[in-house]
Amino acid sequence: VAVTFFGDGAVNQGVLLEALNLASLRRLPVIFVCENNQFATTMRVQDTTAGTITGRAEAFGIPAGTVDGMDPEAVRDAAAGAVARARAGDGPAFLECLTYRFDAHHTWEYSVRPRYRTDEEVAAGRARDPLEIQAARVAGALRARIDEEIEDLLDQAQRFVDASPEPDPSGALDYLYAGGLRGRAGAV
Amino acid sequence: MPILSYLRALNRALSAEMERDPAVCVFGEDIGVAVSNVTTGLLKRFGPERVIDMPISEQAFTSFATGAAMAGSRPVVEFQIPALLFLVFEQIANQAHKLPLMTGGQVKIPVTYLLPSSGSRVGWAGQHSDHPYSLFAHVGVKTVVPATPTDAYGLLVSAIRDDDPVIVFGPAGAVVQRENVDFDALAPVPLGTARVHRPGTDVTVVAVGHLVHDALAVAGELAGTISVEVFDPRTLYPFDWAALAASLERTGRLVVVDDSNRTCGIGGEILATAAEEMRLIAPPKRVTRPDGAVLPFARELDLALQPTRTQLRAAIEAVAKTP
Repeated sequence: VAVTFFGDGAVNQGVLLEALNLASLRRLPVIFVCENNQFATTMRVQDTTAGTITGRAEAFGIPAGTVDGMDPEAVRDAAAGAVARARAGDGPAFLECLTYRFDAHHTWEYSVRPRYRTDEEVAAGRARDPLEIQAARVAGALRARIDEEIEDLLDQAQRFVDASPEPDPSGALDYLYAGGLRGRAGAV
Repeated sequence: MPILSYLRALNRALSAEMERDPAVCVFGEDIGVAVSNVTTGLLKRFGPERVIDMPISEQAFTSFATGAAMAGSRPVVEFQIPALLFLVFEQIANQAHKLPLMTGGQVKIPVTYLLPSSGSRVGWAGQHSDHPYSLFAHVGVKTVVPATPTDAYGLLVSAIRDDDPVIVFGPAGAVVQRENVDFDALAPVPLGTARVHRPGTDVTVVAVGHLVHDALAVAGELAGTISVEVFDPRTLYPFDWAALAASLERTGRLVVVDDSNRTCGIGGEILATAAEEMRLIAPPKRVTRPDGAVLPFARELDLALQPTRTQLRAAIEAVAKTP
């Protein structure tokens, strides 16, 4: 089974429609997952998207569902159905996961600071954090242990990064060609 | 000996590789009925799971090939019209080419993109007559432009066996070529190796694709006055620079004939590299399409924008005359 993830911005790209057609036509075991976080960079989904997101898939005969993307168990259950269908040879499925983008689309926003949503709106979105939603289902002691393990893992990662040398420039184009072909350098 | 046409050579290469390796498959438009005469007989012989007719969705089926390659197939994707490459430039240049590096070598993308009639077919007009091989060499996609049926066979075989994306341009002007060959002697031609079709001592003419045949004709006309070496790179990326340097050691004079638009065409790269690193005793010249060429429908105008034998002859004579 192949799973492809994309945002609400991508649903207006023509190639997605080509891919939906091809996947349905050939009954491919593909699960299309749209993470609808309400924004294509700064553009609201309702300002960019005519019709519905699931309707695009349904037009090609692909079963499509919308799920609360902030609830990990709801996403898991919906995905399990899609995976079973793909494995049974019944072809692709489409899942729209409704979510909310907590932070900037990219760090560029930190310097440009475009104004397209209010602090109140972001706070309301953050109130439904999927980590918190799932954590509330886990017993207190287990949750504390998981938190401790994750903090420790992050500390290790930070120490590893701080202790690592900068990458060797001579390896910048490693793996570009399977057989190790090297093109000419930029200055000779 | 039997006669091998260029398209038949491509067909034989495809057929032989599909026979040899069950991972090889072909995707494209109208390939079941073989509109371009390259996939003739393949559907019947290898079935619809390996010879897959695609909807008019070039971007989707080019990415489909990338995915199939990641899953272990060795797809050959046929495009009937060279300008379709502009449509799928994202899928080739930005995805297939970059994925091996960006995954740290976790994936290989052994896809062959096959253009069985690139360049002008005279009268196919503005949106069907491009020859964009230089674009792919610029990006770093392995790019081959066979001039003869034997090389078309050998280079397509090597392209299919290569573990990287390779684009094979069969120039419409070369597709009319036929050769007397021993079919049993047909063999792979390694990528990145040039071929000297005619040795000479005065001027090296680097000719790309179908222009090799024009260069040979002009070299024949000039025989007795100017000794012309006809150098066919066969692969534009990676280019066989060592062979070109060796040729220029002999001649020291260079003309490139290249069916690219002039600005940033491969001809410019060849001249620049020769000027930087090789032996030149006279300023080199190139014969190309004009800057920004859009080939018109009218036959006379179409032909007027392609490199001609007259232009090539004048360039050779000018370079040979320079003391």
